[in-house]
Amino acid sequence: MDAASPPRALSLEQRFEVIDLYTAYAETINDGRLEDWPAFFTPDCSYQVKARENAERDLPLAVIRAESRAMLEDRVISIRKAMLYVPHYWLHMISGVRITGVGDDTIDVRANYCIIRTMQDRTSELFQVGRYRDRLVRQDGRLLFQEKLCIYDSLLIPNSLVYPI
Amino acid sequence: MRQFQQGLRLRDPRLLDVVREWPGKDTVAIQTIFPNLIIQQQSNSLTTRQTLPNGPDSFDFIWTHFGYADDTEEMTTRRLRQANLFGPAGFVSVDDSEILELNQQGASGSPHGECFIEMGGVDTRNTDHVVTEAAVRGMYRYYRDVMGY
Repeated sequence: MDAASPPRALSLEQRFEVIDLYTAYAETINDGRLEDWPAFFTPDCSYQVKARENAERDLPLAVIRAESRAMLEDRVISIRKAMLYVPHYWLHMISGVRITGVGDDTIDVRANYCIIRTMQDRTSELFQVGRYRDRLVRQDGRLLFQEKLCIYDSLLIPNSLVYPI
Repeated sequence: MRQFQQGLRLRDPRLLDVVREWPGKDTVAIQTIFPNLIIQQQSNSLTTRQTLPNGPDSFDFIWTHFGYADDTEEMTTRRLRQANLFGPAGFVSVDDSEILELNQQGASGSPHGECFIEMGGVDTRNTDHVVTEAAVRGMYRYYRDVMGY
């Protein structure tokens, strides 16, 4: 994934499809439709949320590590039925979506994210900023995340990380 | 940890693919070391937790996860998986930090008054149950003692 090398050409429609995927991904989480979130991933996906410090030093520890869509479904069930947390809204702002590589079946994408958290009795606050390094693959006519690596900048997480990045 | 609620089952059970590393039947050992360090082994997860106070209303909470240098790749993967249970997004630790923040908000709600939380009495005696904050009171009693106030 060399940032300097131009990606193989995607059609305009295919590029819009990538943009639409990220928009739909953010909207699903922002709306609180967590049960729909795992469907954005392949059954054998890799999903990780990792501190930038660990990513840059090539250290393997992630605060969230899923090795299958089933693990994402387990996390949703945990959020809904097991975890206790103060109710809040999340707003994902995803920007700078850039296609960095096109393989025979895959599309590599980088993007930035910013998450604003709102507790109902407080003003909205910045929760986390970071970047995605993703690999998309087409299955049954639909683009899905085969790999999603979320790298967040600040080592400190404001108390708890409950909803998906 | 085996099962929080009736009817809840993992769809991918690899999260709890625990192997026994020590003799005996216990799977959890947590040791607090005065004043701000906690060392724990829970299943195959080895971690330390440090509290770093910023002032009366806030502290940073530093999780460090360990593996052994001679762990097999399989064991390293197992420890990394079980790290999902702990930390700021941990299946079993989110509740603790959320409740702690609510407690703090409740206790600091009246800045001109005083508040205390007395579960299990006001002293630091040993009990035969754990429904008590004697350990926290004991910590602060000793802390005041060594700090001289």
